[in-house]
Amino acid sequence: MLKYYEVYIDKNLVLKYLGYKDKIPPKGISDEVGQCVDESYEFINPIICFDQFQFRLDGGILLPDGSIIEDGHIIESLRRANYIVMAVLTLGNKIDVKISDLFDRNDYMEGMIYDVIGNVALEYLGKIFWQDLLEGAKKQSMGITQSLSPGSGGWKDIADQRMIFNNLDTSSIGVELTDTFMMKPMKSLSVIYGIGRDVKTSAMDHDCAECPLVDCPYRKEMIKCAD
Amino acid sequence: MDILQEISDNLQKGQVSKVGILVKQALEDKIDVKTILGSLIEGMGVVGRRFRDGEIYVPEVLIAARAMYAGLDLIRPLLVQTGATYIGKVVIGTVKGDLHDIGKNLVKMMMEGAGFEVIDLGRDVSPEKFVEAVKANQPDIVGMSALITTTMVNMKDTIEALKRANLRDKVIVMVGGAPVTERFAAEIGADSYAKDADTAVAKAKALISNKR
Ligand code: B12
Ligand code: SF4
Repeated sequence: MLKYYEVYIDKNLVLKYLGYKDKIPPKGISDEVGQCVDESYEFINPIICFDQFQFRLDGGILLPDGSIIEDGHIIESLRRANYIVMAVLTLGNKIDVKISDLFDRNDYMEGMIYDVIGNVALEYLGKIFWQDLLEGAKKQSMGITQSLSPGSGGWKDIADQRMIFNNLDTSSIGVELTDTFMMKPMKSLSVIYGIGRDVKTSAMDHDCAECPLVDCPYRKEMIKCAD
Repeated sequence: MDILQEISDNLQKGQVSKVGILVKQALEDKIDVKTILGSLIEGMGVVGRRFRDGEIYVPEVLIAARAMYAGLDLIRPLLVQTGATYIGKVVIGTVKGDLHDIGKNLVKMMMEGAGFEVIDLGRDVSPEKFVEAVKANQPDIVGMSALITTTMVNMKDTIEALKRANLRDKVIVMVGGAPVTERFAAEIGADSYAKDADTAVAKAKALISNKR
C-alpha cells in the first residue's frame, strides 16, 4: 500500500538540530534557515510504502516469508502484538540532489541546512504516519509500539533491513536497498510497528532510550507512557 | 588597518563579498598568495577556537567558511601556478558501500580552512580507488569516513590494500564517523581517530609535524 502525506518543517527544530538548543541563533542564520525551509518544500516528495503482516513467535518473530527477527530487544517489543506493520518512508531523490549540489559548490552552510531540513521532514513524516496507525489501532481497542528501525537504537543488526525489503515492493516509491543495507535515496527510513490488544501505546513515535549515542544532536527520550 | 588583518576579520564575520574584494585588492597590491592564504587560515583558526570554546556553533563556522571559500577560490589557481605549498595534502573519502558524506564534507572544509590541500574522492570509495589516489597525489594523510557498522570493515580493507601496494608507511591514516572509536581505529591499524572535524584538524596538524 502507498500513502502520500504533506509534511510541515518546523524552523525552530531545524535550528535546534543545527546546535541552537539553549542559545538564540544570530538573526542572519535564523533568516537563512527560514528562507531555506520555505524553499525546501519543492524538493520534498514524502511517500510511504507499507503493509500489515501476521507473525508467529517461533525462535523469534517469524514472518510469513519465513524470515525470523532474532534481536532480543525487538522480540520483547513485538511479542505482545497481534500483527506488525512494516514501512519504508522516503522524501524522494530531489532533496539528495539538492544537498549534493550545495556541497559540491562549497556552500556548506546551505548544504547543512538542507540536510537537517530533510531529517526534520522525515521525522515529521514518521510521526504523522505513526499517529494515523495509532488512530486505527484505537478503533480496534489496540495499542501501538514506538517505531523500530533495523540498525538503530535497540535494534542491533542493520542487516535485518533485508526482512523489510523482502516483504515490501519498494520499487513503487523508488527506494532500493544496497548490499551494505543502505537505502537510496538517502532521506529514507525503514520501520516496524507492533499493534495489538496487549500492546501498551508508546508515548512517542520514536524513543532514543536504547541508543548508546548520548551526544546525538537528534536525541529524544520518552518521559512517560501515553496510557 | 592592514589588509591581511581585514581579510581575517571579515572572514570571521562571514562577510563573503568583502573577503572577495579584499583578496582581489591584495592580489593587485602584489601581496604574495601564500601570505594571503595565511590570512584566510588565521581567520578560520580564530573561528575554530571560538567554536571549541563553545562561543559559536556549527552554522557560524559554516558562514565563515563561505567567506573563506570566496577568498580561497580566487587564490587557488595561483597557489597551483606558483607551487606554493599547503601545510599538507589530504586524500579523503567515505568508504565503499557507505553513502553518508555530511561528516566527511565538514572534515574536508575544516582541513581546507586550516591550510591543507584536500582531494575529495566522494563517497562509496573502494580500497582500490584510495590506493590509486594515493599513488597519483602522494598525500600526507588518508582520511576515511564510515557511518554504518557494515561499512566500517572497508576501512580495514583499505589499510590492507595500502599495505599490499607498499604505500601504508608513506601516509598517515585517519578514520572517523559515528560508529568508529579510538579502539576500533587501533585494531585496524589506523594512525588516528577523531570524533569531530575540529579535533580532526588538530590531530592532523600534530601528526604531520611529528612525521616531518
Ligand atoms: C541524521 C541521521 C539519519 C538521517 C539522515 C542521514 C543522512 N546523512 O542523510 C536519516 C533519518 C535519513 C537516517 C536514516 C537511517 N539511519 Co541514520 N543516522 C543519523 C544520525 C542521527 C546523524 C548522522 C549525521 O548526519 N551526523 C552529522 C554529521 C556532521 O556527523 P558525522 O557524520 O558523524 O561526522 C562527524 C564525525 O563523525 C567526524 N567524522 C566523520 N567522518 C570522518 C572522517 C575522518 C577522517 C575523521 C577524522 C572524522 C570524521 O567529523 C564529522 C564532523 O564533526 C546518526 C547517529 C549519529 N548521532 O551520528 C544515525 C545513524 C548513522 N543511522 C543509523 C541507521 C541504522 C539508519 C537507518 C538504517 C535506519 C533505518 N533502518 O531506516 C537509515 C538508513 C538511511 C539510508 N538512506 O540508508 C545508525 C547506523 C548504525 C549502524 N548499525 O550501522 C546511526 C549511527 C544511528 C544509530 N542509532 O546507531 N539517519
Ligand atoms: S540518539 Fe540519535 S542515533 Fe540514537 S536513536 Fe536517537 S536519533 Fe537515532
